[in-house]
Amino acid sequence: MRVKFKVKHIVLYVLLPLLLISSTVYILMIPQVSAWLHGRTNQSLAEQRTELLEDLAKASAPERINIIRQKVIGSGGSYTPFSFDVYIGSNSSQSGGDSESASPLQPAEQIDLLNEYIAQSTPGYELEDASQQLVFLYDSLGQQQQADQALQQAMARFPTPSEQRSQLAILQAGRLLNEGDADGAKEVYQKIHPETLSQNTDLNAAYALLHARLLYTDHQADQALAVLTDAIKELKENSYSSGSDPASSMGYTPLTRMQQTIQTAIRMDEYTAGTIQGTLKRSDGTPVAGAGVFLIAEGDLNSYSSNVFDSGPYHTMTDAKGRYAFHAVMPGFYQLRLGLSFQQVDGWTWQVPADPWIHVTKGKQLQQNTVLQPLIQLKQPVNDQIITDNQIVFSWQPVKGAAYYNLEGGIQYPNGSTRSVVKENIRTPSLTITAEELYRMSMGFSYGSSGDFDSVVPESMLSFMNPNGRLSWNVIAYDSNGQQISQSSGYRLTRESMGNLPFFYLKNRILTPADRILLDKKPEEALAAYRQDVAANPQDTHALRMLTRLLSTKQSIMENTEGEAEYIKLMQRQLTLSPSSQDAYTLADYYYRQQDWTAYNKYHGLYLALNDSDPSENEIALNSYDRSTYAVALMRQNKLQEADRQFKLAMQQDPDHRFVGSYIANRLYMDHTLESALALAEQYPQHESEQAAYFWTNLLQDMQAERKQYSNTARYDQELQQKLGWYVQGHEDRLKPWASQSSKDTPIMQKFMKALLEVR
Amino acid sequence: MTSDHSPNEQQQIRQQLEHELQSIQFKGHDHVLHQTHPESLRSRIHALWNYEFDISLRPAGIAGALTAATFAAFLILFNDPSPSVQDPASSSSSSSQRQLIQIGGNTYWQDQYEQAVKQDES
Repeated sequence: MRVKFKVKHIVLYVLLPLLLISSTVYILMIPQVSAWLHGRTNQSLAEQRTELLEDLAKASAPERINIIRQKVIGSGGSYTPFSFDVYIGSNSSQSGGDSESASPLQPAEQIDLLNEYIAQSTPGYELEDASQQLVFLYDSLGQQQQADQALQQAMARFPTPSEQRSQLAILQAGRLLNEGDADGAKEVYQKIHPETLSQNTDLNAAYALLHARLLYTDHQADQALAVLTDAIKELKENSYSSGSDPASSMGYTPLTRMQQTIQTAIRMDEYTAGTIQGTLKRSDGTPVAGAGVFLIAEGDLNSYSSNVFDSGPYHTMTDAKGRYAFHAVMPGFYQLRLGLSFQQVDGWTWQVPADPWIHVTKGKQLQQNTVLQPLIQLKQPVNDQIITDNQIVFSWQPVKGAAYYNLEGGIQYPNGSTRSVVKENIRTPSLTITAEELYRMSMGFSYGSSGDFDSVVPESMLSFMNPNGRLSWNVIAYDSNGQQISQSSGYRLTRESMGNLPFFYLKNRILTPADRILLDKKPEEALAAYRQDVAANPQDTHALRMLTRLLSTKQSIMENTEGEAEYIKLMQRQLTLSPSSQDAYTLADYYYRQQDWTAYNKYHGLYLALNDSDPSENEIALNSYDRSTYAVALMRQNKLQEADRQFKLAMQQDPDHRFVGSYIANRLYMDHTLESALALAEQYPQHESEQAAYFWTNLLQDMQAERKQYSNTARYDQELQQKLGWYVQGHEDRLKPWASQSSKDTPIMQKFMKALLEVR
Repeated sequence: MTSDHSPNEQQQIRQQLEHELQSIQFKGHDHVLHQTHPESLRSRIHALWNYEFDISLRPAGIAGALTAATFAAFLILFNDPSPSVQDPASSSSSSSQRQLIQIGGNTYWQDQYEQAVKQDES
């Protein structure tokens, strides 16, 4: 076959279209052109900065103000002063955002432009925004005085009775109060015209809060309480009349919290505000300037938001020397939280003190120095190294002053990861363990939804036994007092701080057919297959291990105890075949809940032996929770003296004093005196989200009063001893109905018993 | 001329004509050539524009296959499969929106982390 075609046909139908297509593609590929097409979204910060500065240089004076308003101050609500990239506190380390969103301008440039705007623009909301940003910027550079001056200048730009002026005055007075200048704060406060705030409930709340703090600092606690009560009443009325829920108003929670604080203070006879000051430095002594420091009251700790309004009135920034101070702090219990930039936190960590509670009482001046430590560098195994040996050698850079380390292992699976302690109390900066030891460890299981066993994540069941699983590890260093010094996990945002990646693969075993069925997401079939394997070979520790894991996971996911007897029997066999402290603990815990003390003592003893620890010798051998349940177990067996001793050790280990209720009950049952119980309550206040720290103290005080008013104190004591006996001996089935009876003449004693039943 | 001439007569007439035309010679080759193959630029382009290819499909198929193979080889040889390595320092200042990734207990910039993992693989 032959074809005929002319040159012109090739040109018109082939070459020309090709040329058109290729030239279009080429133009689109040029970044500048594509940026132009896409509205310049890919412009770098440096380019944005150059362009912005050029625009400003070309612009006339009024145009400049416009540009500053749009590009520097930003449009409404896009900017929150006092927000940080990373927040670190005792129960949280959270990211303010997961992407970089910096201003293109240098702080000094921003300051100049904001100052220009404040001096020349017409007063309005943007001017108020600008002044708040300016204050924040000065503070972040450690220039508190300039911040105060800038605020003063900004205020002068607004007419005397105006809402914006009042708002800035509230900000200024709060700053002065925190800085320790109560008189200055009062002066500013007195110049505020409250009538300008009438429309703004949040501002009204802030005003009342400031007033109450000023009154309390002036030793007028009762008046402070009255101011707060009025403000809450007014806020409620306003909300109801507009048909909204008062609790949804931003100012409501701070007001009610402050009300509770002052009520507690009055009850505890506290009439003086305290001071907390300290420094934030790196371990090499370099001060960290411009970091946020938050002092968070006990009741506010559980609010997850890092918003200034949710974290209470105490926030400040470190100055150029890393110093910070909080004055006029209400009595009570507080914890510190830091707000850091990515740059400040990169490669460093802050270990919250073992006892994070700061007790402000009797107007004391407290010193709280905070030190950032460099992250621990991991040596091996790292960077996705594949291990085929029977032994794994972990090693890391030693930490100065470390008495021991804990090593944690983690597994990564498709949609998440889990971590668990592999070994505690490691005395050297390295650890050699066998693959078998890792295989024995069960991790927390992961699943889709309760009631659906098929939704269990197979990788979480196999944990370290999955040769295809990507494993991770990390270490934590402790000093001889059990205080954390540093850790390997943290923010690693530059080449230098990244170090080795903490990942490795353990390819030391081959998947069994049952493992494959499990990985195929058929847990029920896998369960049957493992059961068959165990039946065929009772010594098959792997199949036995997987069988017990799947059985206990199934019970948890299905929320029933079906098959528990089989599970316990298999666990006992597994413990004989391949002893592990984790399995011994599981059995001890099971018999603890069953109140079978003979079996409990056996497995708890085994757990301690396998953990190479003796509870009477080594005080860090048991963690506070394990020690507390051990003490409860001793109490239940009527070993009251030993229980008392273990409770005391547990209190020293646990800053939250979670089991202080049981401790008090044990002591009360032993000593028969409310006074010694009260002393314990005062010494070990319980920090729990639901209750105030003085819960047990107040309860015991109330009980003393109830006893006094009771017709026959001997009978009261007799009744108390009988009910305490029920609790101590674990007869909760008898105590529960008695405690919830109404029409008793001992309501406080009932409340006490109810509270005891809640201790766990 | 009519068709009633005998073949003999036709033969005679042809011989006579050849004899008479012997002295006449055709000298217009150039002119004709010039007309069929014009030399002005315009007509040259015109000729080129209308130049006709006449190809057998079998060799064309072979040639096409060869071209495709060469092109593929070119792509394989000269196209680097890994994206050009970015300097982290310059990339940190050039992208204003980087994403964080939390993995293995650490927090990294996603681009830097992925680059490090790739390095470990190779």
